[in-house]
Amino acid sequence: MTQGQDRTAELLLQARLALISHQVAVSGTDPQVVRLPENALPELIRAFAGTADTVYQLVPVSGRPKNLDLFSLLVWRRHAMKGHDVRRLYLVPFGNPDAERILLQVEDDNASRIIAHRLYAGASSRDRQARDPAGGSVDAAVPMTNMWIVDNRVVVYEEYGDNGPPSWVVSARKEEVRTARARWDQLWEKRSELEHEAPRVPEPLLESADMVHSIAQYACTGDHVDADGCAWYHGSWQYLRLFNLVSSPNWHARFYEEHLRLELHAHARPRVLITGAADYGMLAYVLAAADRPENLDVHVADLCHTPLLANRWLGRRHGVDVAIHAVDFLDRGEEFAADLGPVDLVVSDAFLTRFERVEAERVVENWRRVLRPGGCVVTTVRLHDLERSVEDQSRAETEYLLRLYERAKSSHWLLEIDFDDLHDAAREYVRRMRSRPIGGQSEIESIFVQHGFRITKAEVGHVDGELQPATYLRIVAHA
Amino acid sequence: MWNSLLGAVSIGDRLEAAWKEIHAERRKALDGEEPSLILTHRIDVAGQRLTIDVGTDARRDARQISVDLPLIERAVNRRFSPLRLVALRLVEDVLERRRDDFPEIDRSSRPGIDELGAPDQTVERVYQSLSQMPDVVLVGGPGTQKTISAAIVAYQFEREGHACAWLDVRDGRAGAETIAWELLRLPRHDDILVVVNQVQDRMSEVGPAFALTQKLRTDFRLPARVLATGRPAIVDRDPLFQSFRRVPTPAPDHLPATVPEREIVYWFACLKLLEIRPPTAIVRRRFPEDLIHRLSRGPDSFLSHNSAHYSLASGRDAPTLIRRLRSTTPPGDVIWEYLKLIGRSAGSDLLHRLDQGDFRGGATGGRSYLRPAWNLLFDLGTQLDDHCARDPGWGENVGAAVFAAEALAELGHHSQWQEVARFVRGRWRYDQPRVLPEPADQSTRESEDFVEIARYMDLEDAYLSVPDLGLGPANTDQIDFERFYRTWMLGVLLGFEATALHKADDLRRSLVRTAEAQCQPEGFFYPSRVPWVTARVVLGLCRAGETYQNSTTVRRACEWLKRPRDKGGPYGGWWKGGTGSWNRDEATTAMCVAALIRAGDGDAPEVHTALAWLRARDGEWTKTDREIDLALVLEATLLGAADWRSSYGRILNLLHWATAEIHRKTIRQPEPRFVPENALRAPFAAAQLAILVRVSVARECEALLGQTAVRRLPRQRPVYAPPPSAGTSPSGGLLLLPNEQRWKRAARAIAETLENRIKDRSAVLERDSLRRASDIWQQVEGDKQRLARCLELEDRLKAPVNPDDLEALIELGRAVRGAAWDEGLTYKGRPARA
Repeated sequence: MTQGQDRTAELLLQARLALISHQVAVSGTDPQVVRLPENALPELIRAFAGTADTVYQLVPVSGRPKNLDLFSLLVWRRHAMKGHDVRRLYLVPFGNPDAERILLQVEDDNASRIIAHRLYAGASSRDRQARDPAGGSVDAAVPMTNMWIVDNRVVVYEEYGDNGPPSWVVSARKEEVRTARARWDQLWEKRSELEHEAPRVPEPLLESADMVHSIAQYACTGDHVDADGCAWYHGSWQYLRLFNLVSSPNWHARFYEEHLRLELHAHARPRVLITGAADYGMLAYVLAAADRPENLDVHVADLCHTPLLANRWLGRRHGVDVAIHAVDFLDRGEEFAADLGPVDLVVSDAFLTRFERVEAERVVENWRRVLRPGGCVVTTVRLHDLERSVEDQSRAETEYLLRLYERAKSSHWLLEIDFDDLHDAAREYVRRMRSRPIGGQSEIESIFVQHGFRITKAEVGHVDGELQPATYLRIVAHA
Repeated sequence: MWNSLLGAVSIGDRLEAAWKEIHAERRKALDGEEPSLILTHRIDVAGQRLTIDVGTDARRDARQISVDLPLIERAVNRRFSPLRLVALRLVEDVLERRRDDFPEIDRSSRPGIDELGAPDQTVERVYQSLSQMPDVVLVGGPGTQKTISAAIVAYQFEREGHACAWLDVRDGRAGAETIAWELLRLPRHDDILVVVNQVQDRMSEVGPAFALTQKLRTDFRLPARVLATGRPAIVDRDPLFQSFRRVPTPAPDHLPATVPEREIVYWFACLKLLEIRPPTAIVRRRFPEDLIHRLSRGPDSFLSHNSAHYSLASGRDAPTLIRRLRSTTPPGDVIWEYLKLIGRSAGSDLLHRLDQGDFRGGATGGRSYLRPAWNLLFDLGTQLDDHCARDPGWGENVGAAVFAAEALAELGHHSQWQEVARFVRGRWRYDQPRVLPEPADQSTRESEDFVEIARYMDLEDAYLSVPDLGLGPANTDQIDFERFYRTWMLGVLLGFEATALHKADDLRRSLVRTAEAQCQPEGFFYPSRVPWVTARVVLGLCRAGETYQNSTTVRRACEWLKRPRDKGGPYGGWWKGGTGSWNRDEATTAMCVAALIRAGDGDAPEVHTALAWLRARDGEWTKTDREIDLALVLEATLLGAADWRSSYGRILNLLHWATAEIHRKTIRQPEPRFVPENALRAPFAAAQLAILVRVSVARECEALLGQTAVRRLPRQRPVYAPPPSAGTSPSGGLLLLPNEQRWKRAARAIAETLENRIKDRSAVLERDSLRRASDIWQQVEGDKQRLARCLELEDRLKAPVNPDDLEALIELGRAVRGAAWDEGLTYKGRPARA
């Protein structure tokens, strides 16, 4: 053997050693546990599918299916067709983009003799967490990871860190099998409960949150919340919505559904204006309330391009051409109203408290200007006077971040953002975002009345809030 | 702000409304007094602008400025105040280049009246110079009280009925604009003093500020004077100061004479970093009254006090004193102990200020994590107490009990600690020097872990013993597991006794002796296959005061840890655990990194490489159930990484987890799954977390000291330099050539070069949002060390001079300022070769 060949062999040997050493480091040396890299999953499926009698699977549906998912599904369907007991429970996180696809998949599974169901894990709320003394709601406790119980002997699950692809763990540890079985039983029982059904206003947050975060980094130009730049707020907004940590139309879902439906149905081709939009949340409600969204003439006005682009994106998904207007509705509202022409409906969620009182009055005045006679504003306004002041801001911020940790730790890998960056973004948000008090219920109503509105609905609603429970006035006012 | 514009529609109305806003803001600031600068306005509807004549009684139209409507509207949108807008336009002609955006204009930070002492000779000289010349500069190195002297001058000036505009260029305000804004708000005075403090920090703002003052004198005929302060390296070099009268500051003060006095002053200096003024009751409890009294007496007193508080005397510069007193207790530790002393609520308030970066010169800030971490640590302490009340033996597990005890000790929970200590000291015997610790009676539960470890090692051997690949791990059969276990316990117990709330010095000494005896000739602690045992013992020794600098055992162990694998050592870019997934590579590496840093060997390249490896492995150590790995990595990162603050979020999460986990154990909920070291996890995390919060505070204090470049010192036994004996010449018989002053100036020049380099690079680091500038950080850290060394050597020029110190200074000077730096510098008797 030549010297060169010796060296080649030595290098190859070193590479083999590195591989083995890496495998030992990744897989570990617990005799009851085997840890596989994600790419080894087909081998594992093939092995188990040849021998397993019962396979119970929790399968998260993130909206970004992996290539391996389809392979796995087809193998297990074949396995079920052979008479084996295969059950699948699809865990659908809040913000999943495609309810229809999941429904079809469940039907196909059932046709292939897999007993399949879906279970919607809604955005966690403080109330639901508080009800569960074990330290979290059902939603919060369910990791959005694949978990299989095979022959009631081993549990197979994905193991995520803050970065990188997951490992797949096969564990025969009694404690783990017991815990997995308890989780399976608990969730399987809930498969038909109403509260775990699909939300009535679907929002593809899991699909768009990363996208909006990226766009915000260069499209954010500053708005009424922060004139210097609003990327810190628009960029993190949808992530925080996913974990129910920011004010959104969802906090007033029934109010918006009811009144938007009522107002939209009064017109054959309603002209709708959304003013102030942190993302497309308000548009989602408008589209959901319309029987024929394609008949809507929808306009969205905001200072910043990021929410405008998000609205256009959602509109296109629904086949609606949403007109977007980068305009300062506070200072340019009059010209804008003149250019746009009268609309039937103005919708705006928690917009007025972005302003000082005197400015909020101008916004209401501009709403009046843009509405046709008889037109209507549907909006919500936070009532600071009915809330306790936050006694210890730091403590409240810490609890906010811990809520994020609790809610995101089981599912943050569904998003592209690094967990640390998500945490930093939330911290930035909670430190900087401020809602401005503009008065109590009567004062707010009087602003509308002074500017020529007739209040047709005014109800007070209590919601989870961001730092603490919050109270909102829900208003429908006609011009 | 700008509310008048809300109802204004036409151009004329909007411009008139803008003027009203300017006028209103000014009227409010003047509070009914006559202004120094007179403003009159005209509205140009066609040109859509507001024209303002700015002048004085002597010259009404000294300057004309215009503010157009688009600019006004931009200011409205940005909530930029009307008077700031006028200030912005007023200085346009003195700016070297146009600003791209609205600059920050606000009150510049100026020492409060309660921080100032009585006028001294420097103040007198400045005052006298100002009466003779319009422009004066106070020149001195760091720690020479320039700011305080200038502030005293300013207050005296104001007390005599004159006015003062203060600009400290360190605080990031726009220079000329801030002065203009202050002047627009000033009532009429016979004399105006413009103070530009610490010019060396942002010379780009200084030129326009001086130019504005010059225009005030020539165009506006205002009697304006300038008092600047700055370092000699800038003032002596920059032509801007040619026309200034130069007033030098005196050399830094003497230090207290005795060791106890120095310790007291050091304590106060550390607290002053966070602007803490300890209550009189605490001070009296902590220090002998006669010493405090002595230090508070006379014109050169080190301390000042009122009925409620003591503090470092005004005029004493805390960073300078900390640097010069060179204590072995880092400032962070002093502050941590003080925090524990004042308790949860007051400590929380203090940390909140640190979070906010609310200290002069402190552009640091704990990013809103320190206060929450402090509060959560107390919650964790409550859970620990509950658990210890029910089960002080932590399930008959001495390992777990020791870690819980360390957490309790850190939190100062005496009674619970005593319960746990009784269990630990009763169940293990370690009072015989040179004999490994052993169970007193029957074995305790952590011994079962070593049975499990043996299985893991067997499996690792099986994986690695692949035929034909030539891998040859140590055979598990040859491992003496009892010795392995007892050596690990040696490290664990060292940590326990070293942090004990109720000291048992004989036990601690015995353990140290045992460690010295057990350290193998190569430097490891048994077994060599498992470097985390060596790391654990080194960590224990460090807690007992043994370090790389003062302990042969620690030094040998550190050298072994760093020895490459191909030379028989354990290091290969990182450290492998040697026990399979029982202490994975990430945990082992973090432990070794922490051990090396704590031992005082943290600048070794092996540490930096291993930290980089750990960062790349964050997908592993953040996985569920790896809280031990996480806690260890967080400690290593906090101690050694450039972006230590990136760990804060994870510390909070870990605190949250540990509190819940200990609660779960206390109420005996079943284990959800098997995890290696499960019994140790929660108490270990608790012990680590107490350390993590402490280290976080320490690093923030270091950051506050960053400008003076005091590097965190490793813990070691106090070693004080003997005081200079009376009658010895400063050079101790060595004749410095050409003279002592030249040597001192040369040392100062090195220090200033290093300070400038640190400042420039630190600015780059602050802008590096992606936190990838670790090489720059390393350079900064290197420079900080060189600077600390330089200042130390500079200090020693005053004491009996050692030729080694002079050679070290020459070497440092050449490295920092080039080969020609020492030209002309020598000393009598210097070897020709040198």
